[in-house]
Amino acid sequence: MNKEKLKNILSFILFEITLKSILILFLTTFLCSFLLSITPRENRITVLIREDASYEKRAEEIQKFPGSYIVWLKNISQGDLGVSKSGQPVMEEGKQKLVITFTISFVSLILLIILSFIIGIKESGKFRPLVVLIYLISTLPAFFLGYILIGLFNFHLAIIPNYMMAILTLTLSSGIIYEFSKLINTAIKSEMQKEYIETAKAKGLKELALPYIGTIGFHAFRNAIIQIFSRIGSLLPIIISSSIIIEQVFGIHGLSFMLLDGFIDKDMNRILLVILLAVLLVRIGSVISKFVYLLLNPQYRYFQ
Amino acid sequence: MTQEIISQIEERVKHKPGQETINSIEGLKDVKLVSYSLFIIWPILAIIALVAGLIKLLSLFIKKSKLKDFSVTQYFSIILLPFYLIRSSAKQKETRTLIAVLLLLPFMLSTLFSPLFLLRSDNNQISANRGLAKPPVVFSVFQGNGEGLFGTNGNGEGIAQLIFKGTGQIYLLTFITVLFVIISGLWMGKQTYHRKTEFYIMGFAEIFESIPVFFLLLVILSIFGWWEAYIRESGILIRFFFNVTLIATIAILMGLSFLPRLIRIISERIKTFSSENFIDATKALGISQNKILWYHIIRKNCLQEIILFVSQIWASIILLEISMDFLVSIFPVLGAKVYSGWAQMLLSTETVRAILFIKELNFQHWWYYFFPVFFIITTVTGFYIYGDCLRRINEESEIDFDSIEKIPYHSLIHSLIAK
Amino acid sequence: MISFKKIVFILPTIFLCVCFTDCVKKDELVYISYERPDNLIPILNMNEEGKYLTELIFDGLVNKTTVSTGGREQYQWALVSEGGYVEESPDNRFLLSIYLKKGIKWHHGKEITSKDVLYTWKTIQQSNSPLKGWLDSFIEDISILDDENYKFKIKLKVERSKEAFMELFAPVKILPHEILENGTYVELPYDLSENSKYVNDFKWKPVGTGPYVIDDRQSEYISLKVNEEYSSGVPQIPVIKYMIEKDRNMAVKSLNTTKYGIIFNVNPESFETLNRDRLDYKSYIPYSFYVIAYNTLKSPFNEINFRKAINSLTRKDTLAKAFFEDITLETNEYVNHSIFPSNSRYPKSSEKLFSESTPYDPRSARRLLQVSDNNSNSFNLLVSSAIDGENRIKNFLASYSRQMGNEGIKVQIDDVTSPVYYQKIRDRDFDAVLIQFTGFDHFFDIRGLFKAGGELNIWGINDNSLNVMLEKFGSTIAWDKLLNSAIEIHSRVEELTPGCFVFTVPRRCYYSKEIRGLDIHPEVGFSTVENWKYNTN
Repeated sequence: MNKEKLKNILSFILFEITLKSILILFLTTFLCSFLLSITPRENRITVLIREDASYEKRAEEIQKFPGSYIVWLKNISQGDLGVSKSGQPVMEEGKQKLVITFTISFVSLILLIILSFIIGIKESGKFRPLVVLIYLISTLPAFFLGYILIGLFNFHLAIIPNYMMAILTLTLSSGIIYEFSKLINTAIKSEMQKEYIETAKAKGLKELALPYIGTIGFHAFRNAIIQIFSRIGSLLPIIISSSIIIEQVFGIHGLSFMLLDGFIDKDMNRILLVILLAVLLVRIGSVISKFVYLLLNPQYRYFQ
Repeated sequence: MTQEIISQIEERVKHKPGQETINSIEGLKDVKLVSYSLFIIWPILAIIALVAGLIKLLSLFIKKSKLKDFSVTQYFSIILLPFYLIRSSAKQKETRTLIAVLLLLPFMLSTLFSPLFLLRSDNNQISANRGLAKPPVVFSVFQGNGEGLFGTNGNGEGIAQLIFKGTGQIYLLTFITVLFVIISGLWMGKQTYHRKTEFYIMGFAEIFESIPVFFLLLVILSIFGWWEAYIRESGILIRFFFNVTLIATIAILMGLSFLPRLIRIISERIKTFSSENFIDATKALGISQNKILWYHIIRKNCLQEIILFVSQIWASIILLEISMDFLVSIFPVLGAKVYSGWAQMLLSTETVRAILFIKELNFQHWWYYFFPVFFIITTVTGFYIYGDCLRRINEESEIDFDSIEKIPYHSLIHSLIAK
Repeated sequence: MISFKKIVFILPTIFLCVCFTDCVKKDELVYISYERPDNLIPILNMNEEGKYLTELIFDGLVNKTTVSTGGREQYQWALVSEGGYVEESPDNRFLLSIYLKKGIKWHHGKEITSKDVLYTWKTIQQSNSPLKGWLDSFIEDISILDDENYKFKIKLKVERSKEAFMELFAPVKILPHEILENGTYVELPYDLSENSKYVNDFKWKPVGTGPYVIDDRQSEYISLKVNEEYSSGVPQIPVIKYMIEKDRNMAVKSLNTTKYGIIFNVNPESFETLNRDRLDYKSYIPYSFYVIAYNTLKSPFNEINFRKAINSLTRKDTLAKAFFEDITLETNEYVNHSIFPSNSRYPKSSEKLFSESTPYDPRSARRLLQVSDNNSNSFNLLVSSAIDGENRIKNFLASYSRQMGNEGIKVQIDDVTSPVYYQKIRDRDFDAVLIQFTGFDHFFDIRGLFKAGGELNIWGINDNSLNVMLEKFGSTIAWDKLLNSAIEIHSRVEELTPGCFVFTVPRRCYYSKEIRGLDIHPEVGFSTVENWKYNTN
């Protein structure tokens, strides 16, 4: 490997993965604990819940800021993420639910990328009505589409079809398809107008836009991807934030349910863990996409 | 013996209705103080900052001489903008702009009429209509309850009223977010030119790229939901400022999720243009760096990209808002209330049931969900298509402004925006 | 390649075929609930959903059945052998011997012994559970002899009372002694810091002797399967699936898509959508009701004639109709004609004995107003619409003020937020207040309502004869004798007229019609598994 490339990768690992990620996690959890210290213990709804005797113990005093946050940080450094107010250790609960949201969001992200590539590349007139239908569906709000699917199909009682419906709504209604497909379209079109394509055509490669080996589309696709890969990292936070809504609609017990329980009990451990995990997920996605971009693009320099 | 039994049985823990006291809720003693400081001082400072920023921007973009040249009729002609656009695009046989403007027409018209509905609310009519869900009738559009045009709610509220009020509310929120995004994004994008600040700004952009919006929004909504219970009994002034801060904080949070994109767009444009020849010429003339960045690069070359960006995010902000209202209705623990009229109709129990039991083909309350869904689809697709047209204008420059008839608004906008 | 024509014709057919499929197995019973169970250890304090599940997983010495004779519960010996309840010699009226059945197995294979009963009792003693108070009231000690595995002795504090034993000790669910050995005892929830791993596992994978065993526990559902070796006979339903749906609309949808489904605790708002052909319902004896309480310490309501007059002017039917405007209910489900609306222990025939002394009668109201010393014709009504649902309360208030206004009495409505509402109630800063009592159990809460210094005594009553009657009421554990004292209390309260009990909020349990022979009791759930039968078509 090139010396420069090595230098790139090492500086990437140092700054991107460690420093920035830790900084982001620290800042978000700091902000959240600050906001939680401001949130009040009671509102008109929790007053109703307190009729039940079992909830009397849960409504403790507001934890003071920043003392409780520093304590939380110390506990994390020792590996102890705390116990929620119902007695269950938070990490176990978080693990189960993280896996669920992880699968939903990443599978829908992959589906989304594939779908938008197909739509962006194939512009033939046969599929135009289908594409228009997909665009119209993507304008609907997420919960509406979810309710329609539940109304049409009775799949919400079994687990796997429920997850499949949730992934479908996530891909369609996250509001990303239109923009992303247009991005791909413009990138490929701009690539096709460059000079090296003409030489390829003159050399005798097939004039198909599709990225099969032996077509000009292959080379155009490869170079277009470089422009797009850096944008994929920004898709993931949108998907994870809209996964809250879809988990609630389909009743999938992912991170959103943990957040809800945390709000009911005003439980700092749970809420902070959920935010930590969400930001971690997003960070992982963006880091991966940047790393791939770094490897692909020979002209990229990761300088300070 | 009997006394012991009684006393021991009395110790049993049982269900009780919630007997809350104010003293057991923290912070009520300081409610007035905190509410006054939080809800009056902060928005005043924010409004002053906003106005100052706006004035400065305007002074950079519009030269005073040009403003004086235009007459009053030209300014008022902006109100008729959509119809002019329809006419010009039809003449040029531009089907896509025509479709976009037609789709956006209901939204535009309802925003124009929304202030009427924001103020008027005829409670007598509403209480008389309570319990009746009337289907649409053609007459009587602008009565206080909007009864007639789009039908009434189960509570007697007119759906037309809810829709038009909703568009006003949504428009307000999106307008404030977009303003915030543009002002801060332009400034930050300009700062990326200097190497020292570039690192911090790109880091800032990455931080806010990676935070999912809803998680923080929920925490903030819970705060405001609590305050609302106390604000309801206070005077009009505090309520007004409370609403202002609520809208502003939500707008800022949502805008922070869109900022990084704008920063990247502007930084890329600056990088591409800073190596051109005409910049060397301006530097040789002795023009300051600031002025080069603001005027020659951004004002002259980036505006179309910015307008494209605005058209892209406007639709996604509307959808974000409606999903935020959904979250508020799903998390009743927060105590917050649904913000917009569209979401109120989409999330009412009648609509949810009608959609969940769609197989039974029961269209009894069709006017509850048809109109908000219609409005959402038309506005969002309209903005998408409009963005498409703008992109085509940027790339292919097929639309020729000079060949269009000289109508007052065209000259105004042409002079403001075109190269 | 796929042509466009194929897409046009194939996709919609696939779509339509998939639309009409079902995903639930036929022999499953689906129980849909809004809340997750708190925990599955029966001696801890838990929510209703936990109680329903533990009824299926655990047995007590006695199991409650829902076979009603005059509305009262029946008991069935589950773990005690025939003739196992032995009262010792007539002289020693404070000793009991109980003989357990032999051969009853826990879900993990071992047999149940008296050691389990002893250890269950010991853990209750060491915990803060509410059961402790009940049992301490009449049990002094339980002991076993070393060589007798199926017998234990109870030493009582009180003279032998079989009813107290059957009501308070016998239904307690028995736990296996392994979790309770070596001094590790189970404390109330939210304090499980020093628990052993076994106890923590037990909380979510309980082991009992009941007819159902926990099979699978996911976050979305809990499934139970049949215990093949159940002593009283294997139930007919092989699988019970307990699904958790927080969204009420989705719960309704789930019930409509399942073949055999039950949903408890349905509030009136959801009755309309659930009134479909496939579903049947049973109405609960309602446990929440609305009251307009008068402040008897302050004018104008300190004068009894004025109170009776106002009571005679309220038409409960119209008020209830204004509240439940869009819900069709039968009148006997919600109109309240007695002060004991939630009453599972009295026979149904006794409802006529509790009658209203001040029914709607404007003439007598006018007469009483003339006679009364109080000349006021207006009063304040304190309300908090933030709690109960704004539109319904507003309809109610409009109807109420109209009723009073027709007779010349002005009602000023004071609509405040909930903290202010509760503060004012505590300070007795109101003339009249509209308040809702939920989770009301007449036996345990009636003294708090009417006794001097009681927690729920918002009307400020302090009547000596009533205090005496209430103490006597609380001391009788025999339910047969409660009825007479209840009638006395009722008549005395009606004389005092501290308020107007307006209407109750009914709840229903909906279930699919394919389930026949299902008997449902709100406190017990469905515990008699032998009576369940499917449609055998």
